[in-house]
Amino acid sequence: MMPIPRAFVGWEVLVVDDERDSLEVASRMLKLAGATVTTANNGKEAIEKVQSHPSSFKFIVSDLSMPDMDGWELLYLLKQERRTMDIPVIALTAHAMTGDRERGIAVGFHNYITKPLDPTKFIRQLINLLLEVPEYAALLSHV
Amino acid sequence: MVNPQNRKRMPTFIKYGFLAAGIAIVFIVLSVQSQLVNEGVHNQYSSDLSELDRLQATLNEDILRARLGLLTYFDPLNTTLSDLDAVRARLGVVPSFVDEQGQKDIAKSLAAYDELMVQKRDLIERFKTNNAVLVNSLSYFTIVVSDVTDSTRDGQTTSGVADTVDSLLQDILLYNDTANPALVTRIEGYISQISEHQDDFAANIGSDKIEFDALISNANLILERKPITDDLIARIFGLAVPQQISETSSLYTSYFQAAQQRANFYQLALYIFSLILVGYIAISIIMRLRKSAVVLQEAKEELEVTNLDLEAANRDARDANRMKDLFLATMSHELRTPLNAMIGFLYLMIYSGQMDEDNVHMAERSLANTQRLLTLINNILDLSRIATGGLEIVPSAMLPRHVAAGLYSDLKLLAQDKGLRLELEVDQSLPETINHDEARISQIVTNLVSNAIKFTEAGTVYLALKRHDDRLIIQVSDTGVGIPQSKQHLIFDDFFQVDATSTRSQQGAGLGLAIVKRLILLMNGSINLVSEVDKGSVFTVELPLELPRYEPGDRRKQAEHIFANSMNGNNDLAVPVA
Repeated sequence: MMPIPRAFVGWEVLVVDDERDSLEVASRMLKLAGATVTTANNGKEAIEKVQSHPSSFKFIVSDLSMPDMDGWELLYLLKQERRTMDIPVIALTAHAMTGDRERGIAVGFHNYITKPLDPTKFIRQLINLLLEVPEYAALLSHV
Repeated sequence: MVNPQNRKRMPTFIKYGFLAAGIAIVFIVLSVQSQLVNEGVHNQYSSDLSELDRLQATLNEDILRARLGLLTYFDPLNTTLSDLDAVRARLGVVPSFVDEQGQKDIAKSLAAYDELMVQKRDLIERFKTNNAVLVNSLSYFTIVVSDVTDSTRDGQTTSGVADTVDSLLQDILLYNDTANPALVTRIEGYISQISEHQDDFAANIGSDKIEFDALISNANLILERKPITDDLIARIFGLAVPQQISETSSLYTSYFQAAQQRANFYQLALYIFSLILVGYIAISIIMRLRKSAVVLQEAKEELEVTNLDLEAANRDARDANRMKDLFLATMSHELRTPLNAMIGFLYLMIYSGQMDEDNVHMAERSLANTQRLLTLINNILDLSRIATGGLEIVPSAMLPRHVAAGLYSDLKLLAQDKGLRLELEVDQSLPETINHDEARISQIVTNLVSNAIKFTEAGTVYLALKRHDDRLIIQVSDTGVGIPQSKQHLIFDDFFQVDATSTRSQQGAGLGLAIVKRLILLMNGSINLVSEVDKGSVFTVELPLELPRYEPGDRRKQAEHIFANSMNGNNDLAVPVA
């Protein structure tokens, strides 16, 4: 087993998924990377949590298809507000249909990660994606 | 097999053939009949008839001139006669447009003319003989008279002789030109007077008695021949030759007119027939056009109905296809979600560091089997998505070294499980960033390498990535069992197993290589296999190497580009269901 890089120590992260098990797996993995994890079962919960603590979340990992409010709508609402529009949002999905990746990127998802999740790979993928955000690059340079 | 349609068509064809032949024959007959009166032939024949008449007049004129001694020779007479023969010979050929009755009548008329001509010739011959004697006598008589009177005057003798001779001359000449019977008596008186006194006269004037004999004999000859000649001329002129010619002429003219009328009738018939034919053809064409217009209209309506049916069927097919896509997507989601959770938890158990070695081992085996199940499900879903066109290759900027390292770290575990070595070689020539579908490239590599590991019992599996000109090469080689030559072309088929017996040593559904092959085809690439039994196999994938339009860090730009495209309707985006 490759060691999980503890890249997100001290980072507050929001994970959104309607599947309880998926949510737990992602949360535990992020915790292994050192992050403080907040969870939400759907988009509605997520937007409430973000709006009540707008500056606390470093990034959001969200499933796409959820009841009440799905990932697309959540993203749309986040992009509407100045305080939340710069938070990187990474889509997490069981699989992608044709065109989903483009559509996701086009509407503002930072990128796309496909399940299943190997902890090391998952964290590395996240790190690679976040390295593209200039203000995070310095924070992650030690990894 | 006899086509019943052919059998039915043949008589129709023959019927139309006969009809066409019949029409052609009627046409030919009518046009031949209407063209029968040949103007040239007719003109020639009419002018010949006139010429015959004219030549007869010339002949008569010649006869008169001969009578009056104006013709020294009879040559002109002969020439005219031979001209008449030539014209008559031409007239023997009656124009063909004259009907049978006409031919007969004209021939009869010409025969009558010929008979008259025989008589005329006979009379002319007799005329010529008599006229020769007459003319000769006249000229000789005149000479003798002048001789006698000359010698009388020279001798200064009695004028009684000269007077009598002069009177005789005058009366003879007068008689020659007229037919006064009184003159005959007077001339006979003078002759007897001269013959009574010819010895005295001869003595008186001192000339030969013979001159008076000649005088008397010539005067008698004139008296004798002149009426015969004139009678011959009268008989010649009295022959009904001109009447005969005019009869022939009028006969010919009436038959010509009849023929012309007939020709006109046929011409009219031809016009009417042509008109009827043209009218019939025009009407049948119009009828046919109208009929085909109706047929076309019906066909059009039928087509429209068929089109509607087709559209409905198409709609149904599209609906069915959409249902299938939806089912696939739902199935894919429903199957993967629990498996993903299982895999995640198993990883977390192993990573927790709170289990003993046995438990870690069991968790790892669970993980491996869960992953195998997931791979199988993914493969089946991928195959059906490729088959329905639901799988698209989506290239984007990717870091091949990075991806290769990630795959290597995963697959190395698999190799180590079997006690094999996995070696990765990324060529220096490979660009840092390429524009390919990362997920699909990973799938190809994973399938090929896991396949190689599966069929290798000992040794090393090599994974190499390199660039060859404008191609991306992925090469996977092993030291495994190899694939027999006879089966090499089959290994990319769905569900194919080299060893298909129930005792086969390897697990797997046989989908990996089939998917690899199809993905490569979707990427416009090719895969090549070199293998030898018990030595190993080398799979070489060649893909067109594409370089990214954006650097990996330039995602915002890329997103904007894609967004702009999607706004312009260039990008057909699927509804997300995951």
